[in-house]
Amino acid sequence: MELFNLFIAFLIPGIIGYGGGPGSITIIAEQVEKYNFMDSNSFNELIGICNALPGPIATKLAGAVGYEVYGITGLLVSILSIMLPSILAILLLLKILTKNKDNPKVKRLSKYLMPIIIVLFIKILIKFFWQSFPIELGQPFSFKEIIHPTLLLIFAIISFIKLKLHPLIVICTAMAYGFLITLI
Amino acid sequence: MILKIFMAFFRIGLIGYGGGPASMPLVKKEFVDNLQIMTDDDLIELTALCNMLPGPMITKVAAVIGYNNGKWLGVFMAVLGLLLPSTVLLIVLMMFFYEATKSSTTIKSMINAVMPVVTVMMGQLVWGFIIKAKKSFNDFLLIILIIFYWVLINILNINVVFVILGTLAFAFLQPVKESEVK
Repeated sequence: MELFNLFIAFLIPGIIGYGGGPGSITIIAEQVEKYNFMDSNSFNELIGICNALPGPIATKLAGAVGYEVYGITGLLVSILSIMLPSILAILLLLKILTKNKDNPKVKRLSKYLMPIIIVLFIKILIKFFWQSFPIELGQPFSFKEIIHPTLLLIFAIISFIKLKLHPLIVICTAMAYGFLITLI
Repeated sequence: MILKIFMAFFRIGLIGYGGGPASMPLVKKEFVDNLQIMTDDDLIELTALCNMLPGPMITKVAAVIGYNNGKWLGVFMAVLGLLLPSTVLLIVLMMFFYEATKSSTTIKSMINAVMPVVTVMMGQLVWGFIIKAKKSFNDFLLIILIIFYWVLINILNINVVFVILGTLAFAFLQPVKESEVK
């Protein structure tokens, strides 16, 4: 019964979870409350843990709630349920497009969509830039909070543009740096 | 090929901090630049369509790349590769390090250190798209379009879903020019 509840509960954020992670978190929170999977304190702790891990937040959060409720089986059921609707929808949509790929109207889609994607990505770029500095506007901040992100930005620019290193190496180095500065 | 896709998504899943969009530069690197199983145009189309539909973006991207290169087995392997690192880590953390992770300043500092790197990767991706767009539009039109969409999405706060749907409708309703029929 609990497994079935998990499956049904996480179908909803998979269907109406627009706008990426943050939007989905709210819906998942509502579902957790509705089905009484856990109290809101434990749920907030789970959000903290999921933020420490790589990968999409909605999937991790669903998995974590599923794990708390019904162990590893619960985790698998929840992850499957939250992913299923959108995967089926996108595959269907692309199948229709591929069938008509010789239609000149389909051929020009990517050209028409390009400016939107540029705008969306510039918006994300600005967001990431501000998130790089762990300070809040109007709040006092220390020299340390500015100098480390700035050094990392310069490091990343040199690594990618001059040295052409693989992202995996650059990200691991940055994480090691983040680890080392906590020791000082 | 399916195995290569699995490994590529495994790497993306391992270092994909900052949510779905943060992984897009990695997707470009793995599939457009390295494996060359899709083009920049495919990526732009896919990004737009994924934005139109609900649910986490990167899992949809994985499903599509998997399906195009290996049908349902491809979907399974791509999504599995993507989710394996974070799921295994999640289980390990929840089983053994629940208390330690909850309030760890070390982990927080490590994740904060990733953000500047992701910012630069995103910048590279945007720059690449702008260079590409300059081949399709003249500079003036491109700037006008970018301002137009910026106002729609960020100032008038119109939902991206409707902006993309509107643009798709426009693309379909415009008559086909002779130069587009090859």
